[in-house]
Amino acid sequence: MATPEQSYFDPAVLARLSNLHLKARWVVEGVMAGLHRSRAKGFSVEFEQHREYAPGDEIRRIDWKALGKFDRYFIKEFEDESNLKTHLLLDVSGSMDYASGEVTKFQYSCILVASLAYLILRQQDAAGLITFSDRIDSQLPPKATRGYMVELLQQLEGETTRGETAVGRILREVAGGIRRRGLVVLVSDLLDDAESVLQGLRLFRYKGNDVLVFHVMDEAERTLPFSGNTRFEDIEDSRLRVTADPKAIQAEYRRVVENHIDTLRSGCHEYAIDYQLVSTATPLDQALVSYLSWRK
Amino acid sequence: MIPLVIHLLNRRQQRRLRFPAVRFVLISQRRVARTYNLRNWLLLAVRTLAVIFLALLMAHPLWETGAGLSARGAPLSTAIIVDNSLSMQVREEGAPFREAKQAAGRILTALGDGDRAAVIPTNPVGRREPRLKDARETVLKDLDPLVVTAGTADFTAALRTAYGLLRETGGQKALWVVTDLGLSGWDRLSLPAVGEYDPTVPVKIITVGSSEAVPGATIDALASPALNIAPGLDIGLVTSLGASVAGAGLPVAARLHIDGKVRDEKQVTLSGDAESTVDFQFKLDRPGSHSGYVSLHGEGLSEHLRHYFTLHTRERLNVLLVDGDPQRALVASETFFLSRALNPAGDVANSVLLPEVILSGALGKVNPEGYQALVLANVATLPPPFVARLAAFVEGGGGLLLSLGDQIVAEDHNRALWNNAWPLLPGPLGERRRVPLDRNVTVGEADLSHPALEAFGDRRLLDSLRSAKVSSYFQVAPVGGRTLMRLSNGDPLLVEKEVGKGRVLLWTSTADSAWNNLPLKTGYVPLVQSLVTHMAGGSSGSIDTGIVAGTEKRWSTDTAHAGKRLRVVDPRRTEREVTLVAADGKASGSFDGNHFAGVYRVVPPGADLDIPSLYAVNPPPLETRLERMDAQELARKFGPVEHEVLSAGALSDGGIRTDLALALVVVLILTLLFEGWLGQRNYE
Repeated sequence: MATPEQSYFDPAVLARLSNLHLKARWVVEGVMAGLHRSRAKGFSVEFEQHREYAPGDEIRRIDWKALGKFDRYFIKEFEDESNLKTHLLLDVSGSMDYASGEVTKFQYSCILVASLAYLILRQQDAAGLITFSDRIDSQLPPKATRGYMVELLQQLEGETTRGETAVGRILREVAGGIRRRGLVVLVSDLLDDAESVLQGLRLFRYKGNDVLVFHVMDEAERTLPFSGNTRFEDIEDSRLRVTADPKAIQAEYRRVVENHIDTLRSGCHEYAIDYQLVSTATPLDQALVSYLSWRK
Repeated sequence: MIPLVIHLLNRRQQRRLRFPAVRFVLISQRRVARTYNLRNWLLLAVRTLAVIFLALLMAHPLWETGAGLSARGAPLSTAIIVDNSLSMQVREEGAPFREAKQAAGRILTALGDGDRAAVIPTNPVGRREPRLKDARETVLKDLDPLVVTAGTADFTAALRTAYGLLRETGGQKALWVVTDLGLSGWDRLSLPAVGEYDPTVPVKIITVGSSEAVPGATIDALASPALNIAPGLDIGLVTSLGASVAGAGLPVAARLHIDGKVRDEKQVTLSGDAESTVDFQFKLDRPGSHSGYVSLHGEGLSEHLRHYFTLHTRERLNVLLVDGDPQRALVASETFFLSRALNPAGDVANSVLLPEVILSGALGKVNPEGYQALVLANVATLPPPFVARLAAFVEGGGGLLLSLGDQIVAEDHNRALWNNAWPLLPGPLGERRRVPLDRNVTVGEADLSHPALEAFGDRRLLDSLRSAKVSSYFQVAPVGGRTLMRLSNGDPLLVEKEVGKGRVLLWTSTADSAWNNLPLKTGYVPLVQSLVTHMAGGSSGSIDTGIVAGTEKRWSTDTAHAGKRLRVVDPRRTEREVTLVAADGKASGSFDGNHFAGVYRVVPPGADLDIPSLYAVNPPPLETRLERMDAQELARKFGPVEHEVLSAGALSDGGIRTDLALALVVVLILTLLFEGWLGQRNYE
């Protein structure tokens, strides 16, 4: 049985809530509450830092109190001054509409994106949203206003899955449109050619963006836990079908999937892209912690 | 086929699943396909083997070495059919039957404790039903008294009995048939007629006797062309002979035996394509019943090639012809034609019918008791004392033939023979009818079912009668009589009436050629002889070539004899009784114990029972041809029933019979375990 804390982040519980804003807030507040209880995790959005004065710094930013204490000039820096622009890229292709349990990858991803947006805006960073399938379906530019959250959530709530997956091509397309460096968060099942996906991600890196990838998978996609002769029909392309005995191919299937994941993980690692494999059964706080770890 | 269908059905039972990562499934499927297919085929093979093992298990498989005499495993129930048809005795002088009993003995002595067996003869003698018995010694006692019969083997009935016995038991079952594979018995086998049979019980056929073709001959038929069979007369006997392929061209001696003595012998060469005939001639020296047989003797032929027959003869018949209109010209006399017809050669010594002619004037002195038949030809005056004697004669069993003519006055005749205490006429005489010259009246229909007219079943004889023209005749209205012949206009020509034990025949025209030209026809002589003989008490003597062994002998006589018992003595001097029972106005009886070839004696309880005292029983002719059933035809006869043909020599090797059921169960379980393991491996 889930503990009260765990139930905050249980995707199945969250999925039953109708209000996405509530879901996002629930997750984020829960995460933050947990972090406050455990400082050891060592992060606070209100943290400010000092650095020694360097020629060219504005005089008004000198911390005079610190001068009094340490007899040295320190410049005071605030979070909101980082002016981080975050592009949340959400995959809404047909393959996301799959669930072996109660929560589809799409539902899970929406809550995750909403939570991230809530968190980003709460830290007074700018958050934008791009949804895509085999094309860019919608695009909200990054903004840092708190009221923007409503707009983002409305966009998310209006989304449905459609079309086929073309992550690699879309990433390249999106990368071409981003002018300013920032954070790119990709939430997708990445059911595309791994090399093509990595190629797109690299483009963001070339432009100086930080990239955070949430690879969302259903547990059944990883393990193929079925039995008996099964006619598999692709969700996106009905022409793609195959009859197989899952038990007979299970071991090989797992090898193929793990190989795909490994390719993505190592490719991301090579270009300092933060790669997170999350299952739709994974509590959402763990996903958010990944983000916060990066933000730290 | 079944495992393949199960395998394919299993593959067809699939569910549909909408899945996002089909591309990974596809890649995996391709990679494992080769290994998976190999395992799949192996799985199919193992499943096929499992089904085969299961089918084998259900078929009660046996592993045998040699003839498989000794059984291992469950208790064994054995039915042994022993062929005791005649061919087993005729071939090689009975060697096959001796071998058959030895072979059956070997099978029985090889039985173990707890095994059961029954000996079933193809030709059962007696009414004891075979049954499976536990004690081996008891069964051996059943085998010892088994004898060869003269019949053809009835394998259909024997198999029906065997399957019936085995059906009642569990454990291992075996069915043996010991036979010479004689064609005449096996070709009658009908598996559907067996009824409920078990194709899983293997039938082992042990062949006995030489496998080489041995000469076989048959005595197909005996017939006598003799019109009369009586003491002192020359009697001919035509014997038809046949031969098997191996017997064709074989010179043989055919011998005729009468009453235990060789009476004639002829040499003949057997023909394979057509019947050979042998004509014997002999004479009998006394009346009554005789028995005889024809035997064949030649190199390689059995001494049992015999065909039995019986002869029944009467005393010679004295016939009194009374001429009522004597003429100076002999040929114009009534009795001229009659006496010539009764004894055409005038040979008193050799004729069975001895006619004596008197004139009507001598009637007053005549005592009919010295004769068997009287013929009153155109006799007008019948003195009352004579009529009284005549009536007593007829009632006592004598025969009277009345022929009419111009001397006859209807009223006088009716007064003497109809309207008195002794109405001998079949009906009152009417007017004399003269056929106009422009009209043509001939002899018409004849009742060929009557014993006196049976000979006219020969078309030529009948046509001869019918060609006779009748110009004048008396009309008669039969009362209680039977009309045997009619004119072409429908009027009666010959009418019979039974009086007491005797018979009266009325011929409504003349016996000479005055009113008809019948005496000039070929049919006249046999007609007169046949009528007189019939009047005199029936048969003129006969030859009876007997019945086929295994069939019933039937008797039918006057209903007054119902309840009487006949004693039947077979050639082995075994006696049985037959009771005559009343049925359909007759007293009838039958005897079904005709198992052996030879002459059977019938002893009636009293002398008044007119039943022949002897009859012959012969084997079916094909039984002595000694031809064998070929393996191909035998296989066709047995159809789905598993069978194996072994020589008797194979039994001497003994051999072991092992029930493979347990071993197969183990193999089946191992196969299923392997199947399970292999199936599981497919999912790993």
